[in-house]
Amino acid sequence: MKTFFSRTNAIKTAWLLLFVTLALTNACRPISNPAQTDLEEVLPNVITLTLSSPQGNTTAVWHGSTNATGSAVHIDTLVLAAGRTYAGAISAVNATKSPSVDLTAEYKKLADEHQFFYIVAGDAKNRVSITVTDKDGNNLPVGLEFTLAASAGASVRGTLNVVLSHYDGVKKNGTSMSSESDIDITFPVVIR
Amino acid sequence: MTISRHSFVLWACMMLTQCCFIPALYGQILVGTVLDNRTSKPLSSVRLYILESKRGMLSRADGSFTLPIGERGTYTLRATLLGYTALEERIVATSPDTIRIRIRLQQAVVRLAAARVVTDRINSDNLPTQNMTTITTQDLERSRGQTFGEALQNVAGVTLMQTGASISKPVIRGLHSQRIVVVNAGVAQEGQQWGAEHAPEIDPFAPSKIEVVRGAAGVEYGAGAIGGVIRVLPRTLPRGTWFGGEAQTALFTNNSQGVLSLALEGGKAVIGDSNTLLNELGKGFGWRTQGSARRAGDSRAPSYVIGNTGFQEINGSVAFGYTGERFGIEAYYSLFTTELGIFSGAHIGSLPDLLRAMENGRPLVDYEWTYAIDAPKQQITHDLWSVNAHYAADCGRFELQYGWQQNNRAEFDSHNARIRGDSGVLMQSLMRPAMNLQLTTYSLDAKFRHKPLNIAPEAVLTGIVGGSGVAQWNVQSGRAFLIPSFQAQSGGAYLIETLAMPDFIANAGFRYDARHVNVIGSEFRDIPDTTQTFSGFSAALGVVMNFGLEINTNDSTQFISLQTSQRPSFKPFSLALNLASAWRAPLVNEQFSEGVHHGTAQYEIGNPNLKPERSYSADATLALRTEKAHFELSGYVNTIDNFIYLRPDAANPTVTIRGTFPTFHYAQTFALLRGVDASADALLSDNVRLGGTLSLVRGDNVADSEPLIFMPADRLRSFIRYEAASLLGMADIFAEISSTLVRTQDRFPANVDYAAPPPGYVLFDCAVGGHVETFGTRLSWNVSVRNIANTAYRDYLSRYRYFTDDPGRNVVVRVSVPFGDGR
Repeated sequence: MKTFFSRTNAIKTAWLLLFVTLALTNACRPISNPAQTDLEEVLPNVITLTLSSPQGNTTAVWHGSTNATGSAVHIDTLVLAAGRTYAGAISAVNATKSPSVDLTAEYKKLADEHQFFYIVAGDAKNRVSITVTDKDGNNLPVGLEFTLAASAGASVRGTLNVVLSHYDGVKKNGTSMSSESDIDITFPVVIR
Repeated sequence: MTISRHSFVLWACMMLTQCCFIPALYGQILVGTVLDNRTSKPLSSVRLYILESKRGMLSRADGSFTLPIGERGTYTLRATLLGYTALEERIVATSPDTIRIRIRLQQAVVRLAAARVVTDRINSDNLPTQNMTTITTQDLERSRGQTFGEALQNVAGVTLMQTGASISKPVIRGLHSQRIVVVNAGVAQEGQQWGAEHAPEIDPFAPSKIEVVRGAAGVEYGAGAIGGVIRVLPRTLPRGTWFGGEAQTALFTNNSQGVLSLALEGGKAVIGDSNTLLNELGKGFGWRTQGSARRAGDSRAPSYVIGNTGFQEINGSVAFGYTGERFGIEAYYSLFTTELGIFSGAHIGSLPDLLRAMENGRPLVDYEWTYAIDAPKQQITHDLWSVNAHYAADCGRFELQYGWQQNNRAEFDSHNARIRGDSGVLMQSLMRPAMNLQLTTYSLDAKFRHKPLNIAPEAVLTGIVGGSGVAQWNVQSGRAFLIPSFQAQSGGAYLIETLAMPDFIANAGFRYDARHVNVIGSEFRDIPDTTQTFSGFSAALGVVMNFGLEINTNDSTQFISLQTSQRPSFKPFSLALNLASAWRAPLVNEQFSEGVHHGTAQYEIGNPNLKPERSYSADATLALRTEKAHFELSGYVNTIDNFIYLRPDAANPTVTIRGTFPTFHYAQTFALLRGVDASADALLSDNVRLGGTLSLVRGDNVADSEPLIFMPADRLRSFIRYEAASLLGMADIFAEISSTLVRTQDRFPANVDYAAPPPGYVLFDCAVGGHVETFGTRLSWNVSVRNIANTAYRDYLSRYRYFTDDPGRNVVVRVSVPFGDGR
């Protein structure tokens, strides 16, 4: 009579044990749970244009959402006085963090990899001229500081497109945009 | 590369085993006996067939047979007998001695006493009536070294969605990714199929066969198999005394790719003295280990380099098993690792950037050719363990399959990391993946194939009842966000019954699945913790019938040709009809994504309230098989209710800090897909074969009455091949010229895509190959040229088509050297 401990059964059991052990060894591999936030990408969500002149100042703010999607929440209209010349500056802040992160300093530090472009369109196009005044180490424009002149005339509307080009693969030459825009926002403009 | 230590040790073991092998013996005539595995009685009328030489015979009354092998080399002997499981045995002939072999056939559950139906269909794991194409080892050999997806491109109804040379996703009848199931070594592959640039993680050298099931197969494979199934079958383990292997290499000129692969296998381990327990253990033993490595530089379009499209892959697998009288068990482990570059010009931050890159008509930068892989890039590893066991009881056969797999996907950005402070920190951040996803899946499948029931003199009923359970975790990390972390559990149960009669098979199946998903919310992304349960049924009904005048194969000689049939006489026509319903649950990316998709510059918004997709499909296949010709024509209709797609919201573009992007919402519609697949293959003379495949798909978004986006363009592939048993001292010579005609896709939704579908194109390929007897082995070689004319073209389904032409001419040289001994 066959007992459970017959040779064939012992063989089968040995094989089964081997495979079960293998399977279990694997099953017990721990599932690693890496940290959820790991060097978050810090993009600005508040961009402020500050224009000052002896006759008076004006600002316009572009507010992005505080979640990570980067979509716009509120965009101010830039109100310019006809016939006035402003000294302008741009600042970019990430306010989703506490404390908030000022990215303007970083753009200044890595000025040779960044350039702001200001493009006016609409009826305001021929009334506004913007000249970048700051330079990077290679004497190329950066665009964190500029002068803005609004010529005298009737009241018109238009838009101001602000683009921050980041130069990674392409070398910055001071005139052409890179294929990579870190900031690309548009303010409505009114000249009164 | 991120290979776990565990995997590395296994990998090292595999490579070590492969460093030593034993030299070979020789053989000219194969003499053997076929026995019933259980009763050890000789079996007569067993069809014995050598696949390579296409010669065969029936075993005599005493079970004996004699087959001439003729030349040295490795052969595959297939033994088939109605009612028994077909067996393939590896034979190596390398000396003038006679090779003696004893074959034991296992009685199949299907005992079709009088039924002369196509046994292959019954023995398959798929439904017998289903529309299926098998890519044989021989076909695979000709495309070795290409990606897994590319090996499938000659199958009717299958097209590829490619992202450069390294990423190709199979598209079956217009559906891909989450709508098809890839089964690797019996386990449903659970990779990261979230995007069109996420390819199946499978070593193209591992499979010995690939089966492509067209159409819904929800009953056998559960929720998800709406479009079809791709089954990857590793080689069967050798049995009996055998030690050998194969070394293969391939070189590709287009991207200067080199591939090396080595496989070793053996059977019947002799452990200790004879008649001991250890020795008994060794008798049913078989093992195989296999590894492949490849490295490729940038692909070259006809007139420029496609920057940063290089890749490197290291893959391996180990399998071993024990087969006894009634009980068998097999374990399989495979490791897939790849690092691949993403074309720099396609990694886009804003819409104006995209439009600028597209307007140029060619990459903005003239890239220098290099092997180096820079960011943006992907690093992927996929570990898979499977253990399957079976037990043949008197009442039927029990099968159990356990699977464990872990998929790690790390994606690296080239930029976008604005880390405050110095550029050292920035560099450090670029060294880390922008996104990391780790998906771990456990699965358990159990099935019972009941004993065939003779319900009438010429009618047999077989059936399977089964259940499966899956548990998985996906953990996401990194600053870029694609999907939230989640846990999911799913389970299902099914029943399939098949009625087989002479020249007629009918089957019906029913399955119920449920899936429970627990999404771990993200405060940063405004995603709350969400728990959802989806459930649904799948059903299938099919018939296949053979008709036409019976054709008798030439039975007068001892060595009959069995190339097209395994039966002495058969009816040449068959007609198969199938009705099926399948479903799938919405995936987390469809429910919870929100952000810009790099590469397409679309702002995609998920919808947490999506309902499951439900498909109803019908297909009909008419086939003609004679000894000299093979023709197959299929037509199908697939309606998908709640079809999930990206609906453009042109009125509300999303304004972000990076500019304004077109908005797309995940939405649901009623979709209708229909089409025709055809394949034909005929011997014009003794040496000349002519054939081709045709794939046509039409997809419509019925609710919005417009065509579906990214449906494959009409495609016709045809070839003419010269074959000769020997020529110029070489054996099995072939020379082939083939062409691929692709029509311009003129059915696409208006105002969704950035560019109209590219114009159609014609490509010509050619190949020659054969076997050479040299250095005591039978070396096989082939040289092929793809895109002979170096035509500049862009495929509609190529993800890089906005920016660059597809790769140009590619000369491929492949050599494979088998070795081993067959005592």
